Amino acid sequence: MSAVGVASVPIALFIAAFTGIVLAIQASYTFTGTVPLYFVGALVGKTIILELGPVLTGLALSGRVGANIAAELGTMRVTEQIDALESLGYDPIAYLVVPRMLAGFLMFPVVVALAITMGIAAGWATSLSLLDLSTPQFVRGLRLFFLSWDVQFALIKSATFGLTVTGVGAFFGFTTTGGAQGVGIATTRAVVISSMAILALDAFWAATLL
Amino acid sequence: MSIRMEGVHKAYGDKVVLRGFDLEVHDGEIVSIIGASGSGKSTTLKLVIRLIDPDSGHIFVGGHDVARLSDDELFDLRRRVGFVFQFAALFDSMTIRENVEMGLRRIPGMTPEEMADRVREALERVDLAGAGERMPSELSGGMRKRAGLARAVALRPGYLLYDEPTTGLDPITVRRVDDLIARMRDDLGATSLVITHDIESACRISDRIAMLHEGRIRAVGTVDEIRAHPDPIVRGFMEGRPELWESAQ
Repeated sequence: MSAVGVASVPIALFIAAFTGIVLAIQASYTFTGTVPLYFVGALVGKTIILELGPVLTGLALSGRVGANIAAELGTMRVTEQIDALESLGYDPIAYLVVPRMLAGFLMFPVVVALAITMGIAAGWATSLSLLDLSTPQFVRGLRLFFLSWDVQFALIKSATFGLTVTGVGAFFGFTTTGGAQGVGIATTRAVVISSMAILALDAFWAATLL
Repeated sequence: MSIRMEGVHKAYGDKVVLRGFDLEVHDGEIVSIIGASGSGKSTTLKLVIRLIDPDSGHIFVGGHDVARLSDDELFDLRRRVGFVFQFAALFDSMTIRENVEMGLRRIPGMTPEEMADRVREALERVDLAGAGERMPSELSGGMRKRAGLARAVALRPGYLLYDEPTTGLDPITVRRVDDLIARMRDDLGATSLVITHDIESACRISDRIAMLHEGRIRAVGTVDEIRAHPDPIVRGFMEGRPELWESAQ
């Protein structure tokens, strides 16, 4: 839980903060003269909750968590630590894979929720400091199209991203062959495949749940 | 308490490693399998506790056909077999004490006090009594091998499988590991199968030696029988004479 969730919070918040800032500025740039500026809050909120919070966090964590799991299990495989575990009477899937996938399933939504909060807060701070927008105006825009279902949608897909990233990392780690080169290949594959899977899942959930 | 392998075949893709491998290790016996690198020696050990499955053939441990065991029976068997890996395969995120405890944690009803006693006893057996709180990365190669042995013997196994226990060690440490292997058999009465290409070591510790060549047992016998074996392949390997070996290929 700690390695998958807590340790991932800083990078997720970092990405979300800058996403919020850029979204607010770009929204203002697009809306000025055509749409009331309080729509900045609507665009920041809707975009971060529905799409950028979960997807950018998922992609970042596929690099951080997925690569970590693939490298760790891959190293354990090529150094026979997984064989040693089995020889001591452990089921390596139950001992090494299930806890990681469970942690991904439970902690990705938590990290994404924090990222969404940070992204919106960064958009709000940017609106106040750079866009000549007041807090009531930003909040008015934020509430304009807000649906609680959007948050549930974001958390549901984050949980599936968590399962995917950890599962793909574990799969490639477990099936690593060779030495250091094999671990490198497994790690790269885990990141590439889990990133692609996140984008495919994102489209799938959008098509089925929205 | 014997290990018996009958007509075992195993291939990795196109590479056939074992083609009709037969060997029996009797109760309380130490048998060493020698053979060239890549001849499938390590594969035979992993087959014994089904870390890998054979393509065909039968493997019996204590009279039980390993292929027919349920998952629970297989885990139970593995707890009765100590496996010493070539490079120790210590869990590098754990201390030596935690490594040795790993197998003991699977024994139902074992109290923390009993576990601590077993760990202390196992580390004392391999002369690592003061190393329990050290990490594997802090140990020398020889100490790591002995820690791997401690992890295996802490379970008080009826069977011990050694994968190249002396490879890469200096002569003094080789001798200490050899003495440990013999002592484990004497203390625990364990049936032992040793994979090695260290001829001196094999001759020192083994009741019998089996030579694996081209996927089959080429010769098996006591140390004296193998030393005096007429087969040029066996003699070439035992005496380190490539010209004998090559002339017979």
